[in-house]
Order: sequence, then C-alpha cells, then structure tokens
Amino acid sequence: MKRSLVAGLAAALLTATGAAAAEPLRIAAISPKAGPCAALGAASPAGEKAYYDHLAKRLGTVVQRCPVASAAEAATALAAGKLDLAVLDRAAFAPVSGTARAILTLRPQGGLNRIVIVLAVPATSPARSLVDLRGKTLVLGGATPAALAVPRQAMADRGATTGFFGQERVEADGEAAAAVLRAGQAQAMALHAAAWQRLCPKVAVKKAKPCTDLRVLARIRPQASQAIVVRQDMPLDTRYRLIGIHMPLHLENATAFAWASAWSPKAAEFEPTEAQALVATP
Amino acid sequence: MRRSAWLCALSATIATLLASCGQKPDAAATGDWRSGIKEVRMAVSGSNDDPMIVRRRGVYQAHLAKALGLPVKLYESSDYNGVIQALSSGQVDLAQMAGGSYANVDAQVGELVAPILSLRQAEGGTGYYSSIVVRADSPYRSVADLKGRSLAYVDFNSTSGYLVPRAKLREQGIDPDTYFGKTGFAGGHTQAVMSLANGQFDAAILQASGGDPEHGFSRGALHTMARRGLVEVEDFRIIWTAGPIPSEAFVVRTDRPQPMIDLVRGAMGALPYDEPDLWPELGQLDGSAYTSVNRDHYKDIIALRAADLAQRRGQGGRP
Repeated sequence: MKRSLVAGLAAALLTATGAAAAEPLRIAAISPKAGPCAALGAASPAGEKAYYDHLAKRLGTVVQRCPVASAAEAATALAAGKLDLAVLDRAAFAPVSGTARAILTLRPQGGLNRIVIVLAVPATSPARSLVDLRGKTLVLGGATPAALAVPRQAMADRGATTGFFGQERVEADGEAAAAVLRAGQAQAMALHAAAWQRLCPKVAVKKAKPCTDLRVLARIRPQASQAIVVRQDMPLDTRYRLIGIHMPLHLENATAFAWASAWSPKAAEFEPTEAQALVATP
Repeated sequence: MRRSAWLCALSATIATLLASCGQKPDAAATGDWRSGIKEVRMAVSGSNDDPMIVRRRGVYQAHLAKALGLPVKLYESSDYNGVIQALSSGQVDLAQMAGGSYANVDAQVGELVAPILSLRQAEGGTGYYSSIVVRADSPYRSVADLKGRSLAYVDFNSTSGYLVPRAKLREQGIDPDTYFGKTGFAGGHTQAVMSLANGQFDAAILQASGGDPEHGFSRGALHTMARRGLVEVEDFRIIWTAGPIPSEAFVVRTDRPQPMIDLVRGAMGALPYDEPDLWPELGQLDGSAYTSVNRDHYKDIIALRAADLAQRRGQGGRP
C-alpha cells in the first residue's frame, strides 16, 4: 500500500514536471571530491548553470553533475554506464576506446576544422603505410596552414615527427607538388583533401592526368587532443541532439559556451567529430 | 526500517524533482515531439538528370529519416522560386538554398525561417564565387570585351548567377542593365552552360567553387557538367569573378519542434565525419564540413536583395 502510494506520488510529480520519459543526462565534472551525480548546487558558477540549463531545456531532461577525481575516472565511469558525457584527453580515452566514442571537438578561433589529409605515393611505390616512408623525401603543396601545418600535424600524430622524413620539400601548390612526385624527386606527397580533389578531379578534363599514376596511402585527420565523449551505445537520437545543440552554442548562449569550452582556450565553436578522433588511426 | 526506506525514497524523489524544476525542461522537448507529425518535408531543386544530385538527395533523405525517426519526403521544384514559396508558406519544414533565395524567404516571413548550417571548406573559407564564363575559342578576355555583347543570367533568385555579380559590376562602374547588348535568364546553371556552349549567349554568369580565383576551382556548374560528360572544362574560360559569397545553407522553419531542428543540425553536421569516404562522392568539397550559422551570416546578401528589389521597382520591375 505504502509502496504504491510512493510510486503513484512519484509518477504524478514526474508527469507534472514533464520529465517522465527522459533519463537524466549525467555529465562528468573533474572535482577534488568525487561523489554521486546530482543536480547543480545553488552556488554553482553562472557559466556552469547556463550550460546545464541550456542542455536541460533543449533535451527536455534533468541534467546532473557527476563529480569525478580525474579524466581517467570519468572514462571509467562513462564506460561503466555511471555517467553519460565527459571531456576526455587521449590518455583517458585510450582504455575505453572500445566502448566510448568522441562526438565533439572545438575549433580554435581563426583555426581550421580537423580536415582530412591525403598522403599519396606513386602507384608503383612499394610503400604500404606511413612507416614505410621513413627517410624518404616528402613534398607538400602550398604555404597556407591547411597545406603545411595540418599535414605536418597529422603525420606527427602518427610518429612522423621532425627527422622522420629524409627531406621535406614545399612547393607552391598541389600541381607543383605532384610534378615533383611524378618526377621522382620525392617519394610521397601530402595534400589537404580539397587540394587533392582539385588535383585529381573526377571530371572528363581533356589534358589533365586522372591521377591513375598515383596511389592514396592514407586519408587521415590530425588527432584531437581532447573531445566530448559518450558511450558508443548512446541512442542515435540523443547523440545527434547533443551535437545539434552544441554546434550553435557560441551563437545562442555565449555564457554557456564559455563554460562548456573552457577546456580549450580561444575556442570558436564546437565541431562534430569522428568516433576515434582521440586515436591516431592508421 | 522499511518505513524509513520508503520515506527516504519519497524524499529523494521529491528533492530530485524540485531540483529539476530550476532547469525548466522545454515542454516541446520533454514529450514525444514526433506525436502528430507523419513526415518531415524537405524542398529540393536542381536537375534530376544529374545522377550525383539525385544520389545526394537520396543519401540526405535516408540519413535524416534515420536520425529523425520519421519518413523524410522530398518536394522537388524545377526552379528556385518553387523552393522559396514552399518554405515561406510552410508547406515544407526544411530546404537547402543559396543566400539569395534565403534573402527572399527572409523578406517574406522573417524569423519564421532561419539558416542553421553552411559549409566551411578545407582552407577555412565559407564562401564560393560567381564567375563570368566565355567559350575558350572566343576572343573575349575581360568584361571590357563584353560591352554590347550578350550575357546569360541563371535566375532572378540566383545568388551567384544574378544578385551578387550585378552588384559587383555596379561597384566597378558597370550598369549591367545597359552595358550588355542583350541579357536573359537561362533558368538554371545547367541551362546557362548549354546556352553558352550552343552560342545563344556570348557569356554566362555561373557559380564556381572548390577553390578560388588564384588556385582555380574544382566545383561548380562547369565541373558538374564535365563530370557527366556533357561538356569539357577546357572548352570554357573564366574571365571575371566576384566573391566569396556565403555558401548555401540548410534552412528550417523555426515554428517546428526544437528537437527536430537540433536533430537535423546534428545529423547533417555529423555526416562528413560519420561518412568520410561517402562525402566527396556526393559531390561535396572534400575536406569541408558543416558549421552553424544564423541570419547574421547572410545579412549582406539580404541587404543586396533588398537593394536590388528597390532598384527594380524603381525602373518598373524590368530585369
């Protein structure tokens, strides 16, 4: 009797607040004192409150703060289903990469998206992966960050740091870089995806080489240093809504964005990302 | 003991609910927003003859249907105005359109429609270009050579094929209504290319994207038709460009449920990352990705459209 009274009262209250169907969203918060997930306290910072309120309103659910001692503990709790969302770095993500996935990173002000880099070699090259290019000559095309800094970063993330290549040449653009590669003066070429697409368009151009003499060794992105991570079994609806709520946060709620992006200084906007963004995939 | 446990549970429930009251979940977001919605309607324009456009529509349709948990119905229009009117009247929920078309919608219904996503390219740009194109075997090398010649616009509602180039020409001291011997509307980018190839016009104004005037372009009407084997890119020459113009946007009716809008934004935003190999195969610029935008992103285009309309009214509405 008492049990059903409690259940009935709880159900009535849940219905009255409109929170009946939705599970709470539990967010990891690195804190000196770990504890159970709970609603934000009254003394919470304004930015944190703005972020939680924004998520609660848009998701139509209760948002809870889950104090954890470290990013590693956040990852463990996330994988165990004790919380739903955490900002993780590479080291914290690695042990849970089989059960968790990245959904959002931050693009810095004036910075680029984590764009795809195409690493290409002559079709006859014996190289089968980046590691086979150690000591070889690499050619890059262009002087912009997309043409230089991003390819260098993407390859450095995979072990090709300074000194990995025997020589690095920088040509004016993709066409000039390809000419060097085709002339045998370099053994590999790295271009950002748009430059590769311009070089090797899928159109019936009369004189352009169709790039059949080149082979794509890898299409890679720079490895993210941190990301918002959820469990892989999070319902698609929830994952897409979280992405769709975060992407315009800088336009819709500056206070909430400042708090939510505080882990990456000078952040411009949230950017969707691939599941394994925190891993240097081959 | 059992009694105190019940009381604790009751207290905890009430405490949780009271705590949640401060966060005020949105009424539309809490319930099943799909209730009463049979389908999501998306307006599309463009040629059904282009297999890539048809494929892209199909992929978007399937992707959004999966994300939204509702059927997505495509409403096809053969011209820009059909999409504009469908969105303005609320017959559809969302559409993909260029800035000039959105400016027309904005003029009609204001905040009832909003842009939510546009593309950021690999190099960081968020725009594309308008170009004046001539046949490669013609003597025309500059706009000066086209004085008194014929010019094809794309469509009155085209951003890159009408609105922006006319404004840019005026900035350069050229009145597009008197400078050329003859002008006309081809009806679309494909038709504009064909009218140029067939000799109907000496020049045509076309969209160019996937690059810039310095590095060349890899996308746009010419490349689309070349990919289909209808023309050769090298048979044409770009002699003038204007831009960058803010890229086209996904626009939504803002009177639709917020969860639906968030889902559309999230699902489309994730697409280049979830399907990186498929993305360029859909004719998208490789390395590009969606970025959030709002009305401010198109305020210059909105102002241009308003000025153009005012000028047309002032001269009796003739093109």
